[in-house]
Amino acid sequence: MNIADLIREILPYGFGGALLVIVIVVILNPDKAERWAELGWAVASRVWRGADRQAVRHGLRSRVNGFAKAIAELTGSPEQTEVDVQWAEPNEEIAHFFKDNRLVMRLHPHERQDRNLVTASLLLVSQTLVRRSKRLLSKRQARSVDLYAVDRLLVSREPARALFHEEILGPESDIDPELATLIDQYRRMDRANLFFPVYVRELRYLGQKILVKPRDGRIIKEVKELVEFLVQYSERRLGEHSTLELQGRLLRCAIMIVAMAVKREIGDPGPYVRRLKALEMAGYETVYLVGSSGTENAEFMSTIAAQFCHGSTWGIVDRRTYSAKLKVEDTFTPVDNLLLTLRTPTPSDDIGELDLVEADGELPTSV
Amino acid sequence: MLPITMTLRTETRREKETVPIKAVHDDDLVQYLKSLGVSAPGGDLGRCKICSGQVTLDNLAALFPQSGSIKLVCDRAGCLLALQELLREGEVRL
Repeated sequence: MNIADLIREILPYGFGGALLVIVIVVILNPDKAERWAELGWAVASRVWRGADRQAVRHGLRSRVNGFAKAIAELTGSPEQTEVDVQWAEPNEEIAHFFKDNRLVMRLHPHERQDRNLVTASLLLVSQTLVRRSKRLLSKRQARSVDLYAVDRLLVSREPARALFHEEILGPESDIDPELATLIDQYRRMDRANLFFPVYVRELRYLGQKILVKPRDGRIIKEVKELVEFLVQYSERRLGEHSTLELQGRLLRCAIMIVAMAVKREIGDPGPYVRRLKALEMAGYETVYLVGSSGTENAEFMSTIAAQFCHGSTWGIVDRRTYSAKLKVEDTFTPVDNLLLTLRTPTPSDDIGELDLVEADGELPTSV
Repeated sequence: MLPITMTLRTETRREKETVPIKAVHDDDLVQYLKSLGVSAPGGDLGRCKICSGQVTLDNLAALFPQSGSIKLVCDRAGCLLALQELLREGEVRL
């Protein structure tokens, strides 16, 4: 029974039924419930000024927490960081202010909620999104990740996004062309939907490694190579061979495209499974299996992943369908893809340069 | 083909964490600053910790304690981004 059926069953029970429906909808859609609360309090604030604080609070919660949930899912994060607004006491004693030792954000009335949203997003993303990993990157790399993430957060609220572009992203890109280049690279990799599910996920894995010094030049270089690798993959033409592996000292991932109709039609996952084993032996830690989400191909990809994992300690840590744009000749064409993320349970901290190993054979890269 | 089914291995159980953002609403701003001893003669609250520009009731974005004094931050893009950096580095916390 789906939710619509359930609601149809409950509604004939009058007021109690309607109340139950509201409770169910609130539990299943907390972001929507927050949005409704924001609208309700905003209307109430026209007759009672005190309601404005609630409108501001629920408005921030609805946008930011929905995004936090989506990001945790996309990046496989074990933590989903949500926000709440805690209003400072208007008569807070100075001793308490110092003892509390926290930043106090200024929030405007609800009619300026877009500005509130921009400021809150900037501050929250910096503190919560792959925070440890960002301390390993260059300041510019860390800043670019946060700015692009805020841009994505604000997609659901276009006026706030326009304000963010006009007052923050645009001016900063003008001042720092290298920052602008990084943001542009993220946009390009995101055409293939790789920013959160692959790039930020890899940064998260990087942050889990313990024998890493902050701002080590080699890490900064490896992350730069990861960005270039993902952009190159995102912009490859259909059927074009491109580098599909990145093996650094700390970042070791590969993309495997499952698109060979011949292999699929004869139901032979063997070459793919053998290739995955070669990547495992060569020290890769994450492999992203990508292909059409069409039923036949999706089943074939699942078979490949399951057969490989059955014979190893690796696991499938993420499975998602998504829309992407693939370059067919010189035009980006929308496609529906499936992404399966395979990951070793025992990543190493730093394999050292002498341990770099070439994986045998080649990945099938074209149709 | 081997009859192997695919199971998704979640890396760890996802835990929800709530970060309470301490905030002051515009309606309480003057009283709040007054209680902290941040006076506003002619609307001037002090200097921005980041750009050293004048902070007023109009452009105040945030304030935080540091080294025994109250630091103010204005709403210029560069200052908000510098504040982001202080948060990333753990020098200031939400």
